Amino acid sequence: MSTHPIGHVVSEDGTRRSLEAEPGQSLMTVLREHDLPLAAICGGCLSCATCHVYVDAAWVDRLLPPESGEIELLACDPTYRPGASRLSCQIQIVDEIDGLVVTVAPQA
Amino acid sequence: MSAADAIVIVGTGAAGVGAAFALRSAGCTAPIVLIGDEPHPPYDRPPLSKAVLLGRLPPERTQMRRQEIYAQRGFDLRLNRQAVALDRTARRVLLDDGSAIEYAQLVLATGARPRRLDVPGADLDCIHVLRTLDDAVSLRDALVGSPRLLVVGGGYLGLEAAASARKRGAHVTVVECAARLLPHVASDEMARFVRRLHETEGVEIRTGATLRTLHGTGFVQQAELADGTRIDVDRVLFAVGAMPETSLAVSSGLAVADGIQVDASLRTEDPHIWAAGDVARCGPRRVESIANAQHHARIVAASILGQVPPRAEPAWFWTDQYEVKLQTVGLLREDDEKLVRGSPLRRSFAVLHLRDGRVSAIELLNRIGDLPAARRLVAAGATLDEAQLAFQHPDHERQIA
Repeated sequence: MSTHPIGHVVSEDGTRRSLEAEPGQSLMTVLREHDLPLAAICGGCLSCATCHVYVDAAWVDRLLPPESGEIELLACDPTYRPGASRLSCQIQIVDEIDGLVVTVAPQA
Repeated sequence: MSAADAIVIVGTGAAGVGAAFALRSAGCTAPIVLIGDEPHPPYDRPPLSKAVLLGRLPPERTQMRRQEIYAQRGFDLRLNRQAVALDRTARRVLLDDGSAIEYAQLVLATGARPRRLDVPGADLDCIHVLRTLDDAVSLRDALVGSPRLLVVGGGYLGLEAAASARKRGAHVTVVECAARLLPHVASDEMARFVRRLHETEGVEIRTGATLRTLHGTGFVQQAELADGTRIDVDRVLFAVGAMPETSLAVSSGLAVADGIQVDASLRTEDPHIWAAGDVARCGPRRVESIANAQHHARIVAASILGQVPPRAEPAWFWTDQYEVKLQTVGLLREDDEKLVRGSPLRRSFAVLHLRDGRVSAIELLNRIGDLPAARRLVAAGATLDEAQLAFQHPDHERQIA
């Protein structure tokens, strides 16, 4: 399986990094593998809210919408931004999201 | 900087690796050596009994970080190496290849090893435990062709494995020696629900059942229970808990009592030695959970650097079985007063645990949206009124257990 860039992740200091990922991974595993500051405590089973990212406005509608539960978990986070906030474990890497831009939310 | 400035971490699970990253994130520039006794780069354990057994997650996808990240962070990652002894006077860890590493600070994050029941036949082939990635791959591969699997132990791990194996088409029997499933880690109400769930999925559950003997020639073929019942089996999984891996501490004379004894900063009686994660006993009881291990990682890093440690958090456990998500916040006690909110029938409910009028724990079944509130209420030791308010969700109809 070939790796391909998923576009850019904006770090806390505003710098952009381009990351490589393989289809089938979740965005959370990609971010964590590359050592982005993500607790991702539950390992991606939709049981915490510690892999919180903000999706760039241009990309929000191009992702599959969140399942119930995801927004409920996020909405209690003080850094929640309606519309932009997603749990990165719930975003699957597919060819269609090549170029996706996200920002890692500050850890609560 | 000399080697004697090094922070040496034994164990590459969530506590050990978490501590290494937490140290760097907090500005620590000392050499950090990570010693792991498995051949694999550090990986996550929670998916092993779920996505890996189900065959949905390839083993290499469980890795915590890309392997080059360790070098980039300045970690000396030594895999497939066992720490065999400590020389506390010289502050050295001795490894199984004969080498020795000097430390300024030593973190023991050696985790726990799975228990095996000491019954006749326990050394036959086709008997599994589930702790490591290799264990998970071995059991995953053994589930091909709808085998008859006996799971010994009706705790979280045994039931997760039972659910995964059932989904793979195995014929699964669970034996638990206690009178009900999930003893000590779930309420009666939740345990009843989980039992019905498994039975609905076609798993045979036998509680109050003790394994007496495993029979077979070469490989296991039959299990015999204390009441004489015999069950034909192809595979057996021991999921009967784990023992803290304390041998380094014991042989070097550190205090051990079901885990390495540490204070609130996770320091042992030796000012240069710390313990974190499943192996550490901090307070009245040892906690085995990934949330605890990750929290310990942050505490031990802060303690070593003389920084303010993060606040204590309520214990937190979760399990996924079939399509059900169970979350437990706080530690349960048998004598807790309990209130059920929601509908077990509709597979969506909460069990509030009260001790002296205060919320001491909350179990959530398919109610992940209530998790932040549950953590807040348990952390604060909220009153029943406060809890009622938080759980006045429209579909939280009143029901007293």
